[in-house]
Amino acid sequence: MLTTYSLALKHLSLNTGAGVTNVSIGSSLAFFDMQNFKDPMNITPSSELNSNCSRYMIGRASMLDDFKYITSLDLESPYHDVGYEKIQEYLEDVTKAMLLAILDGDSKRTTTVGIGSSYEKRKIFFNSLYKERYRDKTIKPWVNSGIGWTATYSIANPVFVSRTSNIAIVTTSPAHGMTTAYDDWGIVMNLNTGIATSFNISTSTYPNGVPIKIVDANTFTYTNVGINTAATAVTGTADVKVGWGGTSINLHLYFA
Amino acid sequence: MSYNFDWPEIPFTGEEVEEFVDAYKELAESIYENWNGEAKTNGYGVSYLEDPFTNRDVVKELLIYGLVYASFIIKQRSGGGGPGTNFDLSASPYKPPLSSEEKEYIIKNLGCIFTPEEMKSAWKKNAGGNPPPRLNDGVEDLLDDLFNNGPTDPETQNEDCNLTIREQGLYNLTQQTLPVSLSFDPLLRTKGELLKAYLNCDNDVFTENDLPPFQCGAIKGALQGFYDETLPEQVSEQGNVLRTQMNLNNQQKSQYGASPSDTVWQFNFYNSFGDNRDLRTLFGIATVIVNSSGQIVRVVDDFDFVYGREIDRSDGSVPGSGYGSNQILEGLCYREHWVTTDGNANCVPVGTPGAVPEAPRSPQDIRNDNNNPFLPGEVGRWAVATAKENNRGKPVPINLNLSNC
Repeated sequence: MLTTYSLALKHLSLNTGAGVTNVSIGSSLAFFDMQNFKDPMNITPSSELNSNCSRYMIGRASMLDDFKYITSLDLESPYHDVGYEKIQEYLEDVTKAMLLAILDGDSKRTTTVGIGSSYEKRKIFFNSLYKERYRDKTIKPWVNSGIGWTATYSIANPVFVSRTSNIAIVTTSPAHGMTTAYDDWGIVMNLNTGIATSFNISTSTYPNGVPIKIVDANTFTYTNVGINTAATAVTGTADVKVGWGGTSINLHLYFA
Repeated sequence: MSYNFDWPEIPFTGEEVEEFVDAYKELAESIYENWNGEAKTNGYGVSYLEDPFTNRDVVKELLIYGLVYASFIIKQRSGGGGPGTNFDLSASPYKPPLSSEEKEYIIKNLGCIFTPEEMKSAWKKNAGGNPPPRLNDGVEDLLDDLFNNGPTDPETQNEDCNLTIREQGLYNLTQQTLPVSLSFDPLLRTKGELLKAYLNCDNDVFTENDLPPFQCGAIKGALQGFYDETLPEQVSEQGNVLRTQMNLNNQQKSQYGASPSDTVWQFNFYNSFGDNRDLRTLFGIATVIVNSSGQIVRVVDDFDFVYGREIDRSDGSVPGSGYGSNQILEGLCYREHWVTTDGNANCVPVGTPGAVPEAPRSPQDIRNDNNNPFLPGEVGRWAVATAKENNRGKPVPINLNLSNC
């Protein structure tokens, strides 16, 4: 196996971009961060290739008499070195598929192994990695009712939004209801008029919303590219979603 | 152990973790065992699975390495004491400890030039063939992936950048390959080539190597004539300044491909001097390099459209240089909610000096104007406007070294 592949598979990304906190304690330094997937909200395989890229790779592979552009990770000279970040994405895709297949219910926030048969779990595993047009929408993880991954947890009511340095700040009334006991909240903003619509989240791009940070009982923030905007009264909804994560108190790394 | 799954040690403990690890191993091995019967394919033998998960052995490797990752997540969710909550670095996932500066240092010293332009140039030289291949076979996407953090979202990309029959007819017309009564026009042929590249979403830098010598020579001759017959800061009958010398230092000149002794000019062809030489619809306004002997040596421009798509050069890059997909903007007609037109039927923001004194018009109106194939001298506008409606087309940087034409 290429050294880059091996390193990528063994040394996973900490994905520290979302709010790493450094805290000095006495004479030592403690780093607090949360381990999570690169895409902490969704289940769609991130390894999807766009059509041109795929055509190129498959075309070249076919000329080499092999229709799989990665024949084996164990080869020292694969036809295409896809890079360590891509390998990590593949690994995360398979890991998510296994968590979806093994864990009970919608596989969120639980450690309980589901009771389904091995056959049923394999169907969920494969279904998680199928191309969009071949997915079985009647079983996990794509089913849209009951245990659907993108099911809305609750609905909050934004009353003011603002944006500074591509961070959107949302104030709700009444309180948004998301507890800081969990770290995996996300939202789909759906505001109605004027500039407020620039804060909206496309569910075709982010079917389970984008991750947010809770500021207080009535306020949360999320990354949202756009011009700086003063606090503006708005009407609309914020669909609260749940992604990959758990109880935040357990997600700390500690190096002293 | 079955099927040679070389399972790693799990550095986390706890009842939940142990139960999960057992279930994980059992499922992973059964996936491998039942692969041939359960990993579905369609009637043509095409796998239902995304690449690279079509390969059983690749998935096996990922399953093996995924165990530590998945059990780590279970440990996080379950809480409790012991390794996995407060754990040491030897059990922690982490990235290879190279900073971006260190990576850049290594790459530079390996002799690689890590810019899209140089990589495209290397591709052309290394891929062979005569003429050299255009970058429309997927390399562009790979480079975009490399520089823009991952592949393009297939949901937002128009996959079909091939010319329509109507567009192909227009292209053929510009190439004078049809038995029609058009006179042979090298500049029109060049415009046709650029339009074809734009519509084909081929945003490779268009250079002199993409032109036969007679077209290259004709462009140089037209520009030279424009330069020779005009004076600096001369105002045309149409009210615009024909050519203006840009005040650049040597470093800025080099960005345009000019030497310190060269002068860099902004040529405006929206006037009779440009019209007479067919330069208006080819360049509009272009940056032209002139050597110390008064000879035209280079022209750079972006073949983009206010009523189609434009290149965002706010990063300081100059026209005629390569760009990434994240620099493609909707044309001004679409960015500005209300626009009016200048004297050349191009949309400009309301209030622009020299704009046609008419009521502001919506982007829809402007687009409809430009969707008229019979506008005199505007062959191709309808194609660009229609392509924009279909979420298609990429601006083409033009960078022609005319020294040897």
